[in-house]
Amino acid sequence: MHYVMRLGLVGFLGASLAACNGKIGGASSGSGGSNNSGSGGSGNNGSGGSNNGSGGSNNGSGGGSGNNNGSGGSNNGSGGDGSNTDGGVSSGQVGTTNVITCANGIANTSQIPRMTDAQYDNVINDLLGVSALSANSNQPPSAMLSPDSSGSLDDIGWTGYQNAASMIAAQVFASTTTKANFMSCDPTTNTTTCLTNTIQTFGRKAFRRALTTTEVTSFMRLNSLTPAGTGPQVAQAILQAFLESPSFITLPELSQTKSGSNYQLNSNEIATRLSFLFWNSVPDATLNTAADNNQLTTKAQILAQAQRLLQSTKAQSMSQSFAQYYLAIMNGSHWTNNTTHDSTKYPAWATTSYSPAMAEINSFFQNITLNGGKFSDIFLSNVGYVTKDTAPLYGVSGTFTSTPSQVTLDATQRPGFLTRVGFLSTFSHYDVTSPIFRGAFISGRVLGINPGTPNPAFLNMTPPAGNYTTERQAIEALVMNQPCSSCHGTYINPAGFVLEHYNSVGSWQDTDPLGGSIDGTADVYFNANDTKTISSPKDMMTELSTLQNAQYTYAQNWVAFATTRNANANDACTVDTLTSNLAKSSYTIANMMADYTQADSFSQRTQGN
Amino acid sequence: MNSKTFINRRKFLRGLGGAAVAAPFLASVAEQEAKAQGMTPSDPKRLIVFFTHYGCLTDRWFPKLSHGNLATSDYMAMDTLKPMAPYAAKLLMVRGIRSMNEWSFGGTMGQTTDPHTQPCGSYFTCQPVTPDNGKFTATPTGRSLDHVVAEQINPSGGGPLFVQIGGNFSSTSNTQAAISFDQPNNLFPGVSSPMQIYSSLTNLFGKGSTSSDTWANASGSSIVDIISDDLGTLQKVNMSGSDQKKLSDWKDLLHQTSGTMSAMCTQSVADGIVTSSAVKTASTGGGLSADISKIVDVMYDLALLTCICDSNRAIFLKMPPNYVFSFLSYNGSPFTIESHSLSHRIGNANMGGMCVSGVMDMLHMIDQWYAQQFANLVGKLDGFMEGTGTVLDNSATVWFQEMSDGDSHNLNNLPILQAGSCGGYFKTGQAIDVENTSGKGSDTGGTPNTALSVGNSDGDCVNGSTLSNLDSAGTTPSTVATQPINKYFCNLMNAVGVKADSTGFPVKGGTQAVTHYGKYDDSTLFKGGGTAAAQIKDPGEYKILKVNP
Repeated sequence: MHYVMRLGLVGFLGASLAACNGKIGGASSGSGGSNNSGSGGSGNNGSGGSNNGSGGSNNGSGGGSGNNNGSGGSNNGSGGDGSNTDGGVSSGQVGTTNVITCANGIANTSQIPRMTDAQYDNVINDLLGVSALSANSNQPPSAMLSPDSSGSLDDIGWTGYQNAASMIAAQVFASTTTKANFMSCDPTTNTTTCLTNTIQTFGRKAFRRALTTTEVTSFMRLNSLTPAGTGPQVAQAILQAFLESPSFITLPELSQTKSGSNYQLNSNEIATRLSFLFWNSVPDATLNTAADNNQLTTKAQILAQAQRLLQSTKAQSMSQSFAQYYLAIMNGSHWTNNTTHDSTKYPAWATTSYSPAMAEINSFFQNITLNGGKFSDIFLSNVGYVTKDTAPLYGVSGTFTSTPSQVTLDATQRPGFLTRVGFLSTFSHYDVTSPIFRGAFISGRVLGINPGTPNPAFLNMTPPAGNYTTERQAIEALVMNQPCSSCHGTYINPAGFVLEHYNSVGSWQDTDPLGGSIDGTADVYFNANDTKTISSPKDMMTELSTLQNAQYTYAQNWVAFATTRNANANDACTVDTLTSNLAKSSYTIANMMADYTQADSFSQRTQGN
Repeated sequence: MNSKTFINRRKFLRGLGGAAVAAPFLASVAEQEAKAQGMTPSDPKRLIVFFTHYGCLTDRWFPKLSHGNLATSDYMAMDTLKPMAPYAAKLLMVRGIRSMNEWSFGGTMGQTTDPHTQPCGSYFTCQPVTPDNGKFTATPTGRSLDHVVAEQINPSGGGPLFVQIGGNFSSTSNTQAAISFDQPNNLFPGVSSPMQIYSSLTNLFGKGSTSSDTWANASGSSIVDIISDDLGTLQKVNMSGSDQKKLSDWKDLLHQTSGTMSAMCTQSVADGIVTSSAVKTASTGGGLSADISKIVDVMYDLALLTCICDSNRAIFLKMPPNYVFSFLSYNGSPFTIESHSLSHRIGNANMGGMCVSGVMDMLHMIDQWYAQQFANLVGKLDGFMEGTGTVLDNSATVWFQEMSDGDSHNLNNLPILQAGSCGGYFKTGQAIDVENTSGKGSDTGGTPNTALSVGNSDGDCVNGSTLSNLDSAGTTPSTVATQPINKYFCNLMNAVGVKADSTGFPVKGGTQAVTHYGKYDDSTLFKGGGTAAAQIKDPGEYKILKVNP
């Protein structure tokens, strides 16, 4: 029996736990933001220039790296592709958590972030009732756009917006229904009045603020051209112009009202932040009215609107997006790479099992987020979503179809998402489990512990020959010596060993395919002050559900997701407060999301260099 | 694709283009100046790149002869590159090259960030990636070749046409397959939609030739004014320099897109190349799960149309990573394992394990499909006359691969195949080994190696169920075929007209030949995260590749 194994060591960097000064709702004034690159940030410097030297700045790495190492498999074994944990934290000494010391201030972001393609589709649908372009094979409008990016528009990106605008406008005017979404008057009569009113009314929604007189005049120039267009032609051109306007394509934050060293966003800008965060689209009429009446100036007013938006079904998309962000479900991750298994060895697994297993992860988090779930439910809820393809893996009886059915799973065997087929099967090899994949994910992604980056010098090891009766024995033999044992033995493998009760496809097992009894007891390192002997998945999930560093990691991911920037010292103050709240027994995930809006950084901004 | 189709198409396009084909519109400033001074302007020079992931089975890809003439019959005898045979006289196989920042066991050849993030990020930048431990997120500290070239040779001064066939895999949270960077550490997503490319080109049709006294023209011009007003309003607000630059770049685009383009850039010419219905069909069901076999030909057509309209002279086409070639079949069954997992031989992205049954045959089929695709692209470019030659003749069209062998992840002995002489700059019809038998650069003298190693891809998994051993598949020793790719990039830049400043690095407005590119030209300098001082050990081009060295 051969084992090819990739192991890894981790780098040592400094990090510390520290208290925070600024708190949500507090009166922190801050002293300038840090320079954070982030996705929506304005941290890039240097345009043009030669390609010599190192050039350019790069700030912040945030989460996303981490370790990961293969396991020695019995047959189709193992090794990480240079290793990764599908996330985790990147800084900090091995074994320390990802806590960033809070520093007062607000991190920089761009004042003119462009809508993402997903937001563009939502906005076009909400404003005009167009979800597919007939001129482009009924693809979503964003199919005409370049992929999301935060840099300058290039030529083809710009023409994408122009062509999309042209197609959308033509389609809107081809239907009385969609045309009514744009204008409520007949442009063939009282043309000037009709067009002016339309510019003001639709412009208010498209620009997410009232238009100035100058802007109305600018649009009305289309009505005084030579040769002149007909009323409908002019109206259609006005719509096209709106959809090409930078004030529509971007979400400008232009308020110049100072609040200490920061700038206070106005009610329109706050409404935009609220709706694009929770709905990924434009504000609705209620939010627009609140903004127009300047009723988003207090934190209580903002909180009330946030809570309202979170109660809408339009928040479902956000809840799923955040779950994917938190779990690092992305191309190239284990979640998407390890999708096939040996159905001969595991007859309950079908090629059709993967998709519903992953869909369950989405539904699981959506249910917790939008139905009053708490942080502990992430690790303890036994609500499941089962189809005919996953029911055999869970061992549940009944009649199931390809449409997921909400079920109550065994509370002992299936508490939380880490006990679900979606996680367990993708963090496994083709025909054997991977205690290292699973353990590294829990350590890095859930607990925020830095397992570091493996050194390729140690990645080509094979375990000693032996007649192993469990996968655990093989792995333990593989990493028994230094330099492997210190990290794998302490931070990575133990949590994975506890999950050896689940086979490669996520079914419960008491006997290893190699013939031995499953030994699911291990000393799990939860943080520097907390290592416990854990004997069952349920016990481990119970621990995870109350651990502060797990709560911190979750809150940190939420803030990074909401701000579209990497974790940083300024946002760490918000993270600290939300972490404390998550420890409260009655505090829900929705509470956390809404409370994020109470941070100064939500209603204020700074300006970069 | 076959030669018959190629010939018919070529004849058709010649007839379609007529006299206009022989008199291309003078788009660039340099060409306009040349005409004004009574000089004969040259045809546009372009850099067109075809990029594929995960390397290949090198011992089936390379010809046995690594230095010398390669005729049609030689390509016909090749295992993988047979589809290139019709174009043998226009091909240049560049041998002995190593790209930068190899991931290797022991970290001896580069960073230890990730076996794909770092070779992809460093490929066209020759810069290290940061953060050093950013497996998924690290990005290079410099711009990539497509952007460096585009800003100097594009008539508009705009960026490259970077096409991600099959969708945009990369994001700011996953840069493992990203190769284009418009700024240091800033990923450039390019474009994936055929319809978006097509529409951007149809916007150019007939520019300057239609009457201005129509409602369409008047309203179009007025909309530009409205956009300009809006940008002006935003520009009055105090913003960061980065935001201000975005606004000013946007404003520049308003003027760029109102410029005139090639006289050949017409609807009728376009219809002869690709129909709007074909573009629509290719645009349906896009995304990462798209059947790229139904997209690729349209993408090549659009690349050709881009050349004809002269809307971009830096065109990079990238095949998708992690792609399931479900339109290929092995033993009667469609492929179900994605390409990265196949390249590792074991059916997943891990390293080491038992080989997937038939994996070598499947990998070979993928390699052959890529070869056919490159041949199709080359054929289309060679099918359109431009001046005294073809679009292909006036371009350097290069097939680059992420690595050499996909299992070993080695970057030495890189498979590179160039088509077109770029207006007579490069030698063609041969393989040229830029490394002499002493293991040094050809410019130092010595004898080129006519039997350079073809690697040992078939040393792994060839019998089906053996144990995959990464180190057995590459080209050993690692000091073989290791001349820096930086120098070849210098060749390409000089060929298309990129200029450098007195340091030899490419700089817009420069007047000198390019002799330096990237931060390092030795992969070992990337060790430790690329913190060593910038150093180009071997500046200059590979003279041996040039017709006039």
